[in-house]
Amino acid sequence: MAETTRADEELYRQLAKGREEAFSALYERYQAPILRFAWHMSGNSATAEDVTQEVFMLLIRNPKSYDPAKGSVAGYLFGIARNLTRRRLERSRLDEPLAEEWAQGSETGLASDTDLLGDLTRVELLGCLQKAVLGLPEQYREVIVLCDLEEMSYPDAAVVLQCPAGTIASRLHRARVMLKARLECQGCVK
Amino acid sequence: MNESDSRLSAALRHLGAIAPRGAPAALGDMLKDEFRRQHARRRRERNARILLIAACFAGFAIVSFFIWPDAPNKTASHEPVQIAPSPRAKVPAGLPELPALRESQAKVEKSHALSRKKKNSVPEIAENRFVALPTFDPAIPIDHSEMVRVDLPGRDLRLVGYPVSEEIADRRVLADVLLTQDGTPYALRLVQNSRIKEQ
Repeated sequence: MAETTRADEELYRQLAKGREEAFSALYERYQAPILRFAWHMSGNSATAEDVTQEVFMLLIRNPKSYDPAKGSVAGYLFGIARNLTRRRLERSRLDEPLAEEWAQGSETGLASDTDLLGDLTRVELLGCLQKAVLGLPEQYREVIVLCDLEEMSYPDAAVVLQCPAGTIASRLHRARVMLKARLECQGCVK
Repeated sequence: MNESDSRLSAALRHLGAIAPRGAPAALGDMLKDEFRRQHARRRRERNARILLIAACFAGFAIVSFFIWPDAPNKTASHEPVQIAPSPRAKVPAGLPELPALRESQAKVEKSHALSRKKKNSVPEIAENRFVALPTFDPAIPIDHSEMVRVDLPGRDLRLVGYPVSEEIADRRVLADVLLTQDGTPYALRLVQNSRIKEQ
């Protein structure tokens, strides 16, 4: 991670000088994680794309805004994505439509290995799970998204969320407990 | 990790797997175009700023050339007015003259005499010998020395360790200062201007 951080910082310096290759490299490295993060946090493709676009537009318009002393480039970009997603959710309160879109999206993604995953992998139950994830308080949802959905390591998630790895572990444990409780309440699992 | 935990983890991984793999290519192209546009604009702005600053400097140089074409000569002609009578008689006694300095002093005086002849400027006569300052260390060889002439209040000479009597302290004095190669003053003499003598 430290090497990646240094490489990112170098790319960022080059980007600030106007090197397009540096921008392309940073974009290729982070567009997908940021898009997925925003998608999991909001459950909405349009919001996720808008957030991704705005994150990189900010990078283009204000390249001097990043301060290496305050954290990694990844943390900075995810921080912008978090704020933008939060703002969008507060503005539009997209809870219900999200769940619907989610169910549609999940239909295309399942088909093959449903048997392996048992009850929860059934389309409607994945919908339940998504709804439960979206219903988690933001700080718990973030760790579920990064560590479980994106399979990021604790230290990496700690860099992104700018908190100690121990905090990530404790939040994740609590988030899973809350998630199970919500799934049971919704009657999705026995 | 119990069974329900592992099932939950598996389900979450599956949930992660159905997320979009990346932003549409059009978004990337649009952002790269925007990046190019922004930086082209920034480069234009920076070049314009540089040109503006260069134009300002050029304008200032032209204006000053026409307004003050002989500014240095005027300053030179006004210089003697500021000079107070030389405190030749007030040079503190007891400070040793430096034999080691005489050679370099002679060289410097010779070159100054030559340059005075060339410039045909107001003749100035060095009235005193150089006097060593506390910073002078005879053990340290001086390969290259430079002399500068300074016009300053008498009391400021105390800052370099030159003892100054109260009479000179409140006047402006003209002094030659010898500097080592690293710029340290190591000897000083007071200078009397011939014009002042005439007065």
